[in-house]
This record gives sequence, C-alpha cells and structure tokens, in this order.
Amino acid sequence: MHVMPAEQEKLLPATPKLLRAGFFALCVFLCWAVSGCRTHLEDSTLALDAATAPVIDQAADAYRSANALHNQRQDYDAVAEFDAPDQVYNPRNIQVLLSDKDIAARLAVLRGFQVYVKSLCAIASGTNPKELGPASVSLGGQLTTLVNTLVPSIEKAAGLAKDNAASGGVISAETQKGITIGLDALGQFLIARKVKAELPAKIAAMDPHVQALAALLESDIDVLKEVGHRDYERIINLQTLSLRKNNNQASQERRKEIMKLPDIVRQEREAEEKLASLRAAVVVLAQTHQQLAAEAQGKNTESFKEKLQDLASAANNLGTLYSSL
Amino acid sequence: MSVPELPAAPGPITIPLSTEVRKAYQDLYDTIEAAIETTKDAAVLESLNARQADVDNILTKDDMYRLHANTALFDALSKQINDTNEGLATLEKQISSIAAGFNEAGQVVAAINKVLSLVPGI
Repeated sequence: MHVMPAEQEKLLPATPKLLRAGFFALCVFLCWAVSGCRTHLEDSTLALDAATAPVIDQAADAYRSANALHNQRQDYDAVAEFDAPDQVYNPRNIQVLLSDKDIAARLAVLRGFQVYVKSLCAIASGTNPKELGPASVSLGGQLTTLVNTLVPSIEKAAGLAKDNAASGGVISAETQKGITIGLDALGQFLIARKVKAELPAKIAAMDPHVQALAALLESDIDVLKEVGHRDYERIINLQTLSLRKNNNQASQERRKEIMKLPDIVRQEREAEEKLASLRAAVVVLAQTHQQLAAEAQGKNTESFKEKLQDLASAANNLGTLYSSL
Repeated sequence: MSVPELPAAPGPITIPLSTEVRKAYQDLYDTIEAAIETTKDAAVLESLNARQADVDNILTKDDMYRLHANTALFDALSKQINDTNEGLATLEKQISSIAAGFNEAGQVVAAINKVLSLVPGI
C-alpha cells in the first residue's frame, strides 16, 4: 500500500489530539454516569441492609423470649394447679407456644432474606469490583507496550520511521493513563449494563414476597404481644393470689415475694417496648425494599434507570468513537 | 365478698375463632382482669383467676393456631426467597466474569507482546 508521506505528516499530529480529547471526555462522562447510578443503587441497597439488621437480630430474640415467658407462666400455673382440690395436675399437658420447628421455619426465612440483602449489596457494589482496577491497569499497560512495539515496526516497514523514543514512544505515559481510566470505565459500564438488564426485575419480583414477609412478621408480633401480655398478667395474678393466701409467711420472705411484683411489671413493659420496636423495624424494612424496587425500576426522579439510559447513550458514543479509530 | 357478676362466656367455640367471638372472649378476659385488680379477698381472687384461666386458655389456643398457620406461610416464603437468591448468585458470577474478562484480555495482549519481543524485525 502506498501512503503519501506529506498527508501522513499533516494528519498524525492532529488526529491523536482529537481522539485523545474525545476519549478523555468520554471517560469522564462514563465515570460520572457509572458512579452516579452506583451511588443511587448502593445507597438504597445499604439502606435496606441497615433496615434488615435490627429485624433479623430482634425477631430471633422475640421468638425465644416469648417461648421462655410462656414456659415461666406455665411454671406458675403448675404451682397453682398442683394443690387445686378439683383437678389432678399433670405436667405432661404443658403447651409449647412455638415449637423448634416453628422457630426454625421463621429463622430460615430471615436467614434467606439476609442472604438476599447481602447479595444485593455485593452486586450493587460489584459495579466497581476490586478486580477491575488492576485488570484495567494491566490491560492498559499491555496495550501501550503493544502499540509502542508495533507502530514503529509498521512505520519502519512503510518508510515512515521517526524517533518516537525521544518523545517517550507512540503512546505517552499520560495517554496510557487515559486508556487505563477508559478501560476501567468501560468495565464498569459493561457491569452496570448487566445489572440494569437483570437486577430491577429480580428486585421487583421479590417485593411482593418481602411485603408478605413483613405482613407475616407483623402478624406474629401481634400474636406474641397478646400472648405475652396475658402470660405476664397470669404470672402477676398468681403471684398476688399466693401472697394473699399465705399472709402468715415470714416477714422477710414475704417482702421478697411482694417485691417481685413491680419487677414483673417492669419486665413486661420492657418486653412490650422490644416488640413495638421490632414491629416498627419490620415496617421500615418493607418500606425500604419498596423504595429500592422503585429506584431500581426507575420510578424515582433521579432514577437508576435514567442513569443507565445515559450509559446506553454513552455506549453508542463509545461504539462510534471506536469505529472511527 | 362474693364473686362479681360476669358476662356469660360466648357459645360453643371453634378454633380459629371468628373476629366477633374472639372479641367477646377478649372482653370477658378484660372484665375478669379488672375485677381481679380491685380485690384483696383471696377466695374471690382464686375464683376469678380460675375463670380467667379458662378464657385465657381459649385465647391462647387461638393464638397458637395463628402462629402455626403462619409457620406454613413462612415455609412457603422460604422457597420463594431461596429461588431469588439462586438467581442473584448467578448474576454475581456473571459480573465477576466481566472483570475476569479484562484480566484475560491483558494476558492475551501480554502474550502478543512476548511474541513480538522474541521475533525481531516485525
């Protein structure tokens, strides 16, 4: 192939500058667009993670506490029923409020939900995985070496040899840095595009299950609150009855037994506050997931979808730029 | 002191209780509780506690029914959540493979560089 040396001399200085400027502008745009969408999705996902933690911690505690309280109430029942004249007390008839299987079913769902939230966090932060940076640096460096090796050989073969060594090679260190940034942005874009294509649908499909989970947890909490209230009432009433019936008890012993009454009430209030707090946490969890689903589907003004649409335009620009090279 | 007049217990019961029947039992429980909280007489207290225990037993059975019904729903939810988790795990792998792809590309270019350095004059 014959190349006009004069034309080549005219084009060479101008073209790289133009490409470099365009490439740099695109890199900046891609970085901005990718980081913009990542911030929204990551923020919403981290909010969901923060809303999940108290529910997981408190729910397991609430189930175990409810069982322990119900057992304690049955111990008080045993004392009252043992000496009752009209019945024979049989300890084998005790009830279990929540069996191990009942608690295991609830904890399995909560653990499954925790895995779901952790996976979302990993994917949202995975739009910029830690492996991508070093891979981009390595690829950028290797491309630079390749071009710096190959271009002088081609120029030599075409009779265009010039002293590139004096200017630091065909690709300068500054341009190499630009390539690396561009590759990193491209990687982030490809990942963000993958996330945009699949994640919103998964989050939207999960939302009804999360709302159902929240409704179930609220229903459980309501039941536990009612049972817990009656368990405490029963304990207080039986303790009071015991004191009224045995008023010839030794003074010191009687004082101790009487002082248990306000302590039981304090325990009841504390347990009710914990359940109220858990219920509020469940409501926040359901709302946070709903917001995340809306965010992922682009229902909010500054939406995840809009940011990714920006990225799709950027992809077209990137394709145009690459095809012009 | 005699046992105060209390409303009659609602008719025959079926668990789960209907909303109306449950409310009737809850009202009866509250009425007995109010009477318990205003008496010091041990005999009256004993009688009220026994009646309240019967009502409490019915309400607790209904509560346990509701908890067990929820267990079945939790079991069903568990499967659906696990299915979603499997889909997310696949997506995570696909995302990792994009970053790995850049690494592989770097290795390919490095291999080309090596060939070029070993074949002088290209």
